[in-house]
Amino acid sequence: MKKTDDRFDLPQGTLDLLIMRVVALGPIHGYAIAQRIQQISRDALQVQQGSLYPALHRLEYKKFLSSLWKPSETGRDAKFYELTSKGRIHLNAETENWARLTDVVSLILQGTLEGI
Amino acid sequence: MSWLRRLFSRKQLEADLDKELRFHFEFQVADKVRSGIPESEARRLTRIEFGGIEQIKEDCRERRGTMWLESLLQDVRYALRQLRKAPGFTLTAVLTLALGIGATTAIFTLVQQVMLQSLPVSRPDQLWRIGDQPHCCDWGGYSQDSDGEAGNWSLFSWEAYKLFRANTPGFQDLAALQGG
Repeated sequence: MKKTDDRFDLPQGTLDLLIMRVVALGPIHGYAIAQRIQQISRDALQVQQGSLYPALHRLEYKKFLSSLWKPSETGRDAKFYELTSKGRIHLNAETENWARLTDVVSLILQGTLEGI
Repeated sequence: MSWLRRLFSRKQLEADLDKELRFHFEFQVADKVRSGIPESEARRLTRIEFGGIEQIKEDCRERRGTMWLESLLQDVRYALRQLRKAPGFTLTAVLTLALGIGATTAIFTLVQQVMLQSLPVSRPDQLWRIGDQPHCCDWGGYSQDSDGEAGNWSLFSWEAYKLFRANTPGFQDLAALQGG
């Protein structure tokens, strides 16, 4: 993650979640994944190649993602990633975890200080 | 893909990894060119953004799960190369190890036979030897050692043996052997 001005660092493991979410939309290659994350986050998140590709390879190794080579929009062959059924289950579980975690964290952060 | 297949298709994986990153690189350059940056400048900027491409590759390889085996094989190959380069050292090391292992094995075999292995009877603890010397019978296997010489047995007459046999109810049986 590049950190400048209004950009910020992602908590550990969050990148995997974002990647899987983007890949869940359909087969997509690495460059487009980075672009998509940047677009959706309105430029707040810029995924560096140095974190993107190791993450992709890790997810593929864990069989959350599968890959195949096919021609990209430029005509050159690109490695397209797809979410496996195992990956989909994992993504759902992790998304739920994430929602619970952020709920709890904001509950505490936004609570009045009287109870402490 | 199993980790074993991953290991054997290493060349293919390396080529794919290179192709994948190169694709990303070219796409990024093309994007910059489209936004009006001259190509040479776009390449330069992209290279800076990419940082160390070898570092990225190394990180990807580590995620692959065969890295430990690959680096092990690399180490073994390196060791063999080094050994080939120094035949004198290799010979000395191999000889030292061979002699060391050989000598240790030989000594242990002896110790095992003489001291560790129990007698080939079902209850060795109930086997006793009779003699007429103070330390005749509980020492060092078959030797008597009363006069410093191994293998000396106490000698008794046939009549004495028969007497012992008749008067040692503590033993189930008594055996003797005849010499000469």
